[in-house]
Order: sequence, then structure tokens, then C-alpha cells
Amino acid sequence: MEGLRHWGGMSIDRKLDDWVEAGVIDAAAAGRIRMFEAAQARPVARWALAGLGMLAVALGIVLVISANWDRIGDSFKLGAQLALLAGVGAAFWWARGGGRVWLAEGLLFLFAALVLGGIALHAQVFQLTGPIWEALLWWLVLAGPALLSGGETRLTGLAFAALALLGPTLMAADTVAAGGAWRLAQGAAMAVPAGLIAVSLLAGWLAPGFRLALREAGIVAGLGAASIAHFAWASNITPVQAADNAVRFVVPAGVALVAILLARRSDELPRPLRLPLLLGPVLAAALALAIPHADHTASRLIGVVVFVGLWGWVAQGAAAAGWSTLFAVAIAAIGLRIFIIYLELFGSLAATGGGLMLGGGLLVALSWAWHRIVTRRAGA
Amino acid sequence: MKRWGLLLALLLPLVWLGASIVRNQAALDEAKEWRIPIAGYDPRDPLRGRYIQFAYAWDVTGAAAACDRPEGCMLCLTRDEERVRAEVVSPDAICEARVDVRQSRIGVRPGFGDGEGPQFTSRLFVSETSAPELERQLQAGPMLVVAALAPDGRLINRRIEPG
Repeated sequence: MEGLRHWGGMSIDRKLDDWVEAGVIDAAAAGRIRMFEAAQARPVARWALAGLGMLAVALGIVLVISANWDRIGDSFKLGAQLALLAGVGAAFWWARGGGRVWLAEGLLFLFAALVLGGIALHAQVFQLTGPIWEALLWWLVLAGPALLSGGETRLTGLAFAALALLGPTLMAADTVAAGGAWRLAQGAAMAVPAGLIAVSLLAGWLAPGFRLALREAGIVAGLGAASIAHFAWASNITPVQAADNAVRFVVPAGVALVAILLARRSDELPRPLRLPLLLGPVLAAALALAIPHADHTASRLIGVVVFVGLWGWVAQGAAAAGWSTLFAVAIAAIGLRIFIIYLELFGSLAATGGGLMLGGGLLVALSWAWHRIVTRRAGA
Repeated sequence: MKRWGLLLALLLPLVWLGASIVRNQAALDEAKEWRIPIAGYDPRDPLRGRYIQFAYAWDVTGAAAACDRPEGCMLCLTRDEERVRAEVVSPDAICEARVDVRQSRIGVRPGFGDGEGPQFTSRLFVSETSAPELERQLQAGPMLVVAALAPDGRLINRRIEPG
């Protein structure tokens, strides 16, 4: 998990100069470290820039199509779109066969964007109304298999993760008032983050970069969703809503358990992080949404405790696994949440002041705990 | 095996989009044209572009409240000079111009006033260039939608013009 482990040696040269100057290492050792780092270097910024460029091209295609050119005949537009899709698919096939990985990846990304463009064009020409998430789910069904079977790097891996997250999330948000079987469909949408991690662990035949992107997206989406869900502690959850939510959580809990079992067979998700990353988000969100509670200071404070508990669990696992970036993100999340603790206690000047003092004290305690963990790891 | 799987995955969107074109075009070829008065406005969709959101201004008779259910209802359309009547009928009723509300993706919203029946809403995707003019016309006077009624009961909006 390169991205969540560390940001890369951005200031390694300056650090090495400092260490040589301080007599920690000699110049020859610094030279060897520089050579090693240069060999290990991955042009993350360049890839990110290329990815951003491809995203802009994809959005451009969708917007050009959404302009709905009425002076061009429908049959010409549909024919041109299909021809373009077939041409890009054939070019991808050729590039992949010739071992041109990055060209193939770019073309596959473009292919997926053209599928979305085709769905939009289709809706315009035949006036296929209906919610936008239906079109996005069709996008997942039609472009997902090509990305899954042809993608090799993070670019297409992230594209697939975006497809898998976008349509189901919008569907769940749009149909939240609908009961019955819709609750299971919404549960399936909530299970996508753990599902992405499960696929990355299960599908050993997929390229490592592609699987890495699925895992990273799954972890970020799972923790992000649980963090957003904790704001439900500041609202009323009626017994009926809690029961509905409990039904919804059946699917994500099941998928998380499957992912935990798969993780046991693999060393790609370190043991100390399996439960915090897979079970933690589901548990924290279920506590916020599947237990009836009123909006009260006590419930808000419980929400803070649950939030800090989740991220503390993640920080502990990240520290044990040596994932320093995830550890820093977890500590930052806890720090930020504690800093705004006065929002929960807001009511009067005295309460706000008390909340700020409490939050400040907890932050000082947090920085001390951080120091302890770092020094303990350094001594180990 | 993996190459065949990838080839099938690449062909999937082409085949689906192609088959859908054939299916929708066949439905339009067999459809009968209806001109229905409307009232509406003009919002924007990030994926499919500008569209006119409107309510069919037809005279509804029968148990219209049933149309608000997830399974929808059937409407039997008849012409009465310039007006269009939409009678809520049972699925097995004999009707020459039957509209399947659910299949047509017609939205059903409760009426505003006492005794007011539900509103039947739909949308028409329009070009970016024609949207401002259509919006002006919608504000200026009566408009009607020209819709194709396919044999399977789908009412497919084709264009909007002054009524």
C-alpha cells in the first residue's frame, strides 16, 4: 500500500545533507542512499498529472455530448459514437498486445468514458428519462467488465473504483425513503468499500497496481463514509429508522466479514489493520445509525467517543503495521474532531469555553500519546 | 481464456448500445403520435444536458390516486377536440391508446389543492442551443409535447412546440 504507507522521499536530499553535516552518516552512505532512492522512485506526480488529464478528457467527452447537438442527425450521432467506441476498443487491444502499457491504460480509460457518453447520448436520442443513477449503474455494468479484465495500473483501478462507488451511492441517497427490498439495495451500496477491498484480495489474477487502487479506494471510502455517518449522532434516529438501518447493515457487515476472511489468506493487508479497516467503519456507522437516539449533548459526545475510537483503532493498527501515512491521517482526524468538540457543548459562553478547554487538553494528551508511540517504535 | 474474456468485455457495451438502438427505434417506428398540452420549466442534468421538466396538462378521470403507487397505473388516452383525456383503467381494459405510467417513467406527484388530482410529470432532453428559446416560449404561452405512444405502452416524448 505505497500511497498509505508514506508520501515518498520528497525532501530526502535535504535530510541527507543534514545527517552528513551532523555526523550521523558519512558522505559515501548518503550517496548510496541517494542511488537507492533514485532506483525506487516512482513518478507519482507525473502519474497524477496524466490521470488528471485523462479525467479532464473524460469529463469533456460527457459535456460535449450533453450539449445535445440538434443540428446533427440522431443516426449520425449514434453511429459516430459506436464507431468511436469500437475504434478506441480496437486501439486498446492493439496497444495491449504490443506491450504499450500506458497507452493501453489511457485508451481503456477513454473507452470507459465513451461508454458513459454513449449511455448519455442514448438517453437524449430516445428520451430515456429516469434518475441519473440508473445511467451510472448501466455504466458500471457495461464498462466495469472491460476495466476489470483489461486494467493494469492505478489509473484504471481508480476508474473502476469510481464506477463502483458513484452509481450505487447516488442510488442509495435517492431511494432512501423507499422501504422493502430497496433497503437491501442500499445495503449493497454501503458494502462497496469493503467489496472493493475483498475483490483486491480475491482477484489474484488482476495486476498489482490495479488491485492496489481498489484497496486504497476501499479503505478511503470506508473510513470516509463512517466519519460522515457519525454526524447522525447529532440528529434524531427513531426506532423505525434504526430498524430500517439495521436491515441495511446486514449486507455491508456480511461483505466485511468475507473481506476479513480473505485478508487472513493474504499478506497484503497487515493483520493489525484488518479489523480496524474492515470491521471498524461498519461498526462505527451501525452504532450511529442503527441505535435509536435523540439529538442531545450526551448522544453527540457518544458520537465523538465512537469517532475517536474508530480512528484510534486505525492509528494503533497503522502504527503496528508501519503504515506511517495512515497513522498520521488517523491522528489528524482525531485531532480535528477533538478540536471541534466545543460544537457538541455549545450553548453558552461558559459551555463553549469549557468545551474548548476540554478539547485543548485532549489535544495535548493526544500529542503526548503520539510522542510515546513514535519513541517506542524508534526504540524497538 | 483471459483474452476471450477481455474481448467479450470490450464487445459488451457495443452490443448493448447497438441492441438498445434497434429496440428503441423499432418501438418508435410502430408508435402513434400524440400531441399533449403541457406546463413546465427548464433545468439541467450534468450527464444528459438540458431538459424541459413538464407536467402533462391532460384531463384525468378515474382513480388517479392509484398511480402514485410503485407499480404505477394504466392510462387510456382519448382526444376531445384540442384536449386530451387520460382515464385510469385496469391493466386488462380494452383501450386503443394505453399508456403504461411506470414503463414511460412518468413521475406522479400529489396535487396541491383540495380535490386536485395528481400531476403526471416527465422530461424532454433538448439541445443547449434550443433550450433558452424553449424556456422563453414556455413562459410566454401554451405549449404541447409531441409524443410517440409505442405498442408496449411507453409514451416517448419527441419534441415540444407552441400549442
